[in-house]
Amino acid sequence: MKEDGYSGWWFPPNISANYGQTLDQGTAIITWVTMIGGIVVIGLMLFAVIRYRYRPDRKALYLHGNFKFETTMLVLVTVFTLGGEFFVLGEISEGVWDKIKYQAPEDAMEIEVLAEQFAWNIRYPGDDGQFGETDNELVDEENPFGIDEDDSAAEDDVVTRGLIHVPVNVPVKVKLRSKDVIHSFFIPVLRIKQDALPGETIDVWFQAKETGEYHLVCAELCGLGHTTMKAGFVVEPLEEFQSWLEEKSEE
Amino acid sequence: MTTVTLDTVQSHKESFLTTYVFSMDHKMIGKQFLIASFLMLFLGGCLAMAVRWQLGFPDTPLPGGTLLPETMVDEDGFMLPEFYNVLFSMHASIMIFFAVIPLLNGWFANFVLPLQIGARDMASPLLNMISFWLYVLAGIIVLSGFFVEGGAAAAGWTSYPPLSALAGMGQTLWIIGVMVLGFSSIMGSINYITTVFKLRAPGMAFGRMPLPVWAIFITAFMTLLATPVLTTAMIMLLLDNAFGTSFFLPELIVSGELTETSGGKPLLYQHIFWFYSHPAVYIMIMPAFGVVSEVISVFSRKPIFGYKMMVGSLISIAGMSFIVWAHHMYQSGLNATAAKFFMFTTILITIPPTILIFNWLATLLGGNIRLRVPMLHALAFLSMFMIGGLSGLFLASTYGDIFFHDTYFVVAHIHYVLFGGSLFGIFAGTTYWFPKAFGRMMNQRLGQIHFWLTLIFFNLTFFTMHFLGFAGHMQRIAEPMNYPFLESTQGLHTFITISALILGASQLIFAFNFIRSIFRGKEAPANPWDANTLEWSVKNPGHGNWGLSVPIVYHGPYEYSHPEVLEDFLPQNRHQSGII
Repeated sequence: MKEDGYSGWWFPPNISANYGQTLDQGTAIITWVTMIGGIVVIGLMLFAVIRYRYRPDRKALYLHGNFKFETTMLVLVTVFTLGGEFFVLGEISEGVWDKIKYQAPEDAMEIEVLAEQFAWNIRYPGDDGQFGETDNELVDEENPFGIDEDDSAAEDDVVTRGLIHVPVNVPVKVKLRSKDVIHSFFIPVLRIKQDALPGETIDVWFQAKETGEYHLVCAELCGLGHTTMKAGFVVEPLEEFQSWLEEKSEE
Repeated sequence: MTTVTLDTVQSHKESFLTTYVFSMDHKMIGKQFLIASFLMLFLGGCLAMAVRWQLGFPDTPLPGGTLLPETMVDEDGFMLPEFYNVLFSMHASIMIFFAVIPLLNGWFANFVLPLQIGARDMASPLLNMISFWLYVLAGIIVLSGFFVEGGAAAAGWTSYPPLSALAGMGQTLWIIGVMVLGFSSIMGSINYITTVFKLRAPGMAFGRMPLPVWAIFITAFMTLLATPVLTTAMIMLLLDNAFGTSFFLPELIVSGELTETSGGKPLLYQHIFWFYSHPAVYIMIMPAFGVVSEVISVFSRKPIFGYKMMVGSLISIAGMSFIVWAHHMYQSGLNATAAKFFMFTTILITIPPTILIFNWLATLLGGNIRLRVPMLHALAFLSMFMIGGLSGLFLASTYGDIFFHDTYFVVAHIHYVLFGGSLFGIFAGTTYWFPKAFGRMMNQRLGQIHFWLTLIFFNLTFFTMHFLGFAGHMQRIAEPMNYPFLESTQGLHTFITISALILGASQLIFAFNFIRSIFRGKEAPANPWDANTLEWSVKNPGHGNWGLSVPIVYHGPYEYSHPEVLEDFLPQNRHQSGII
């Protein structure tokens, strides 16, 4: 299956409804600035090499430096780099990082993602909105999360393997965990990436604005099956999502 | 006047063993580092070719693959994914720890530093010899991983636990090897620092030191302060890996089984590792800054522009390199304050390298530029390192890093810095000092052919990898075609592989030129480039540096094209009244 909209040369489609567009715009600004900067420097270098090429009858300029020029350059470079980051991109001043990584909306739908060598396990809390208790002692092939069946909140939990469905235009908060080694939760079309650390639960959130079938992949080397570690990522209308979840819970 | 050379003063006889193997002569140790690191560079390059083959031609068996043991390839000669992981892990480890770092901090530092400051040798020749042999020992330990059960290390050059802590014998050997190499680096750096402090020739004030000496001197401080931290990480990782402790391991469920580990934090390792490894990024390039400054000034026949500003930039890079480490960990679950702090310091550290680039450009402008082979490489360094620096901005920024982290964009970036930067710097310095080291000139025509092929195919190989990064292509995956969204990248991969194979083959031209010139090259005069620094005032190779008295230094190192001097250069030890 070949997915639409992927050129292999540039960004994949961007279906993020929250910060994903900002990230692409920021990257575009950086691309332009670096391209211009690079061309200017290489251009100057080539100009110097051609204009001042060796001639036996000529002596080079005897110049150790120029205090005024050097200080002006230093000030300009400092103002340009710091100013660019602070005010043009606003990365620090506007706290983009906090928003992306830590400020999930209150009403976000919660799911749990548990990475393991070499698969993604997903758990939905079901109608009660509560995840059942888990215990590492209970983990086995049938029960990858180690869900405690005696807990009443666990009754309607839905567990899938290698497949995430999410409703479109609904903020989703992922509680990300790992069983064994470090994995990394990467959905290219959402511009989202977060390492999954064993022993920690890390929150990640996103909101997809377009329906479609995409992939969740592992971006951190996790062993010999790393190259196969992926999951289907399906964005669909809320009703379809709900009926899919219902179907899964009956299984 | 009778001339007395050092050889006649020191009459102790050198046997073959003490001259070529367990030598304490800094020049010989420098050359030993050069040859040994070039061998490692060759090996690391071969591994890279195999990696590229798998990505470029996934449907064709590895050439000669059937000769490899069945732990590496299947019966048809196709590479197994676990061998792929070994290949890129060992490629990176060899290139970083056993090629780039020792070429810059072993070969240049040992050969050039004492000569340029007018010393007869290092402060401790014995320590110097031990440092080289520990490097050899470390190399043997790490490479022996290929011959143990389970193969060599396969957890990447960063070897993050828990993956590395759970791995087998090859990984254990890797950890021990890196630890031993750390001791080698520490010994070397103590020696360089002491030598600069104690053994400068009369008149060689700090303000008159050539920039390669400054760069090596400052790098030695980074090595001395940062490497013990790496050793700490390696000791803890070794204990976790081989002796069942859990410094970095919480309770895990590995292939369905609950482990006995508890209480450790995987992130702790990353902090310690990068606390070393970010300064190490500059350890891998800073001596090249010095080398390139020297070469650009010599071949522009013009004083380096802003000498003090250059030294200041090198010192501030070294200082700041200790407070940027966590920018490698943006996606690891860093808290918001830490992320902001490290983003800010990372932006700050872009300033001094920018100043370096401007000063190099200002040196070129108004010069009388001779495009000899070392200069070609130095100019390639300037432009390629700059591209590497600029692509670093995408990763330093929160906007870019979320998407580009762990993709081929990072692969492209690191190769622009380490190949486009460090390796071109190494080529510049090696071709520049070759006449002094071996008493012969390298062939200019072959040097030019090698340079142009390398520059062109380096860019075709690595610039294209930026696009793979934009496509969201994860690094370190053996079979990208497993992913539907990466299917469109196969053409790019094949193109990159073909470029990489030509790039690799071009290096054979350099190897041929290098080996041939050692034996058959044109005999070199003592000062073939008309340079000012002291190493060009001693006769070509042989044992010992100066005769009875060390030289007296009268000028700074960059008095080129002085209007009151007839020639366009003025050696540091040639007295000329009125010029300081």
